[in-house]
Amino acid sequence: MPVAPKNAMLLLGTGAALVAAAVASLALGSVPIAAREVFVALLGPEQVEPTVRIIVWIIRMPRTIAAIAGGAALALSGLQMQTLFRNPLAGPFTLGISSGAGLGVAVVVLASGAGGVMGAIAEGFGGYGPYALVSAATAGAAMVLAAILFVARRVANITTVLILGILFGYGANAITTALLQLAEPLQIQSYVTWSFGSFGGVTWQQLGAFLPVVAVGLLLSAALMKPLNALLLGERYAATLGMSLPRSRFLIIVTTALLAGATTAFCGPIAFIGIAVPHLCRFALRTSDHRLLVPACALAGALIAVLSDLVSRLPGHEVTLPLNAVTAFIGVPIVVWVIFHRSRMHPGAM
Amino acid sequence: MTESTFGPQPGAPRIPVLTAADLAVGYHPATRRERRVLDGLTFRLHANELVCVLGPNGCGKSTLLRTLAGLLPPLHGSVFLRDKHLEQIDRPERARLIATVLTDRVEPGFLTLFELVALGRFPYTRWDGKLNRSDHEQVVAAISALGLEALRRRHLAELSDGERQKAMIARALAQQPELLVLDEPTAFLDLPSRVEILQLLRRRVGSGGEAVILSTHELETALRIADRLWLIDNEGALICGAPEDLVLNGAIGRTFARDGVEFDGLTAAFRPITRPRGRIILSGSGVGGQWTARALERIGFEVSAPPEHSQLAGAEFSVRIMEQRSGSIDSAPLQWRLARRRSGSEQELQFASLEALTGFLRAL
Repeated sequence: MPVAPKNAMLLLGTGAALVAAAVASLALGSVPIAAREVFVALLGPEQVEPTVRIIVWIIRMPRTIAAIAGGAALALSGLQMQTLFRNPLAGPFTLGISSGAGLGVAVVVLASGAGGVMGAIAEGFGGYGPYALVSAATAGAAMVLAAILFVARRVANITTVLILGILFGYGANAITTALLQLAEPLQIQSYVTWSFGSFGGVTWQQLGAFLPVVAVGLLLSAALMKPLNALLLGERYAATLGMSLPRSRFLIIVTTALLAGATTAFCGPIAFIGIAVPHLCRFALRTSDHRLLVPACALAGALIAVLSDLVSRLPGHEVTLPLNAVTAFIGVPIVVWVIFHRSRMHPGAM
Repeated sequence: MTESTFGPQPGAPRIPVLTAADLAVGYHPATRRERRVLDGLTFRLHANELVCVLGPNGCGKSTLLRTLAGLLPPLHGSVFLRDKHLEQIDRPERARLIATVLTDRVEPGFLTLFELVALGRFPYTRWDGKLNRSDHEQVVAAISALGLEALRRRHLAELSDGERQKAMIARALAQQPELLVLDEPTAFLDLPSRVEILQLLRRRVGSGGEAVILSTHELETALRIADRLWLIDNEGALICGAPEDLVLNGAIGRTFARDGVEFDGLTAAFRPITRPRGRIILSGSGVGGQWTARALERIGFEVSAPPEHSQLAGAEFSVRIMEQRSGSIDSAPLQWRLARRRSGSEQELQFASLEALTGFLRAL
């Protein structure tokens, strides 16, 4: 079906809002910069003062890009989880995928020696730090997902699967905590800081590993729109339509693990974007069609991540709010509203 | 065999759409211990043929249909689609040949009816599922075949169960299959929707060219619409034949035999076996006669028509149906005259409804 004009407007509007939010993200902070100056710094970096150049290009630009990529990645992984598990409460965080990624990160931190997360990235593994981190986090995420799927094929009740996902997440967390007992205090501190979740610590060097992985994840998501639509009817119907169930399942898991794993590796575990944004898009566009939902979730996820990051440093002074507190403020009402709205619309769906 | 009597059909030789030889279906050892549900099945299904699979609950109807749909591998033997081995046909090709309606519940979400039916084009569309002109035409045709044009923009959540089931069938038709497999398509529906959907399928066969195989519990409707029945009996044997043949040779009665229930070949319905309370001679035909007989049988009387000769063969009562004036049952009020025959004296009682009549007889 062609995109309805109303939905095209919503997509365009979200895109425009994203651009505006990105500019605001470059302009606002402890040192406010006028929007005009931001544009000058973007178009001709030589024409502005070195301080402004550094703030815009070295400090705020990677952070903004990380928020855009991370937000889009989390929202897309949430969308795919919700469709694959046919559960509105599925998401990278609820299914324990973030915890799996966290376990991967902890392993890298420990293996990297005294430097902690940032040290691992900067010095450990002879410059391959970011790649080691992203690989370990993705592997951890995929491990938890594979375990969930293994169980999901044997347990008919999908709510049970969700609970098991939460338990697997606790399991991964427990291993992480045990591992950290072996760590140096500096490593522990660095891990704890990472676990709060922030787009602020991401550097250009890390973006070199982060962005390609997210780009691959986005491409895979686009390629998966058709099987995701078939999965709306359930796995058996999808199989009768000619979809290869094992292959689609595998690709969806790999895609989700890449998207959620890479984001968690560099930005820490970030809650609620993955679970709330897909609902927001479905209800705003009133569609379940993934050909519309995939681009919509990518845009809306990026927008909400940039805005949350902005709010988290809006106090503008030395104090910043934890990012997860902000995403929870946005996410919790959405999820609560969705639960009520859904159960009213389709009784028995939850 | 029509082939031998009238010679081969004009045109292409009649290769059955579906052929099974010595087929065993059940659950595979990969998941659990191998469990054969049905064994030694041999059958064929031709184009433009509608087959109803009947059998007691849990006899393996769904297992058989899932195997034919390619969702379960056969445990033994083989299934051929035209001249190709079912398991050697690749998935998209198979989805272009077989469309399936399952009993699985579909979570509606925000799918519209059109989008649902359009998913039937899945095996034909390109990587992103975009419909081209011919896809679009097929979807529209499938929607109108089920009479759903007015609902095409509705979300599934806004449809009734019957409408949603019709949409699932339209989706299957949009696959342009040669074989349509429907597992209890009328379960969970109200009576009018059940009859409507089965009639729709009946009309479709012969015009669309698909072979249709469906499982159902609606024995009476199945007898009416099926070209052939596949009857799975209690021993797991498959009995195939024209519905009328299976009624006449008693196969249906035996398959569904239960203690205290018998199959009535005349009315194609099951009724409880009861010891007769007595005999009643019923004079009166047509709809009124039919329903009067049913009412009397319900309360345990054996009903017979007036005998040719005057002797009433031990019947204690006789009932005559009187019409005030001729007309349809809607307009003509009926009256029932009950006569009790005992030692010559004949007293007649009048009743204005069957409720009154049966109430009186029961109170005796």
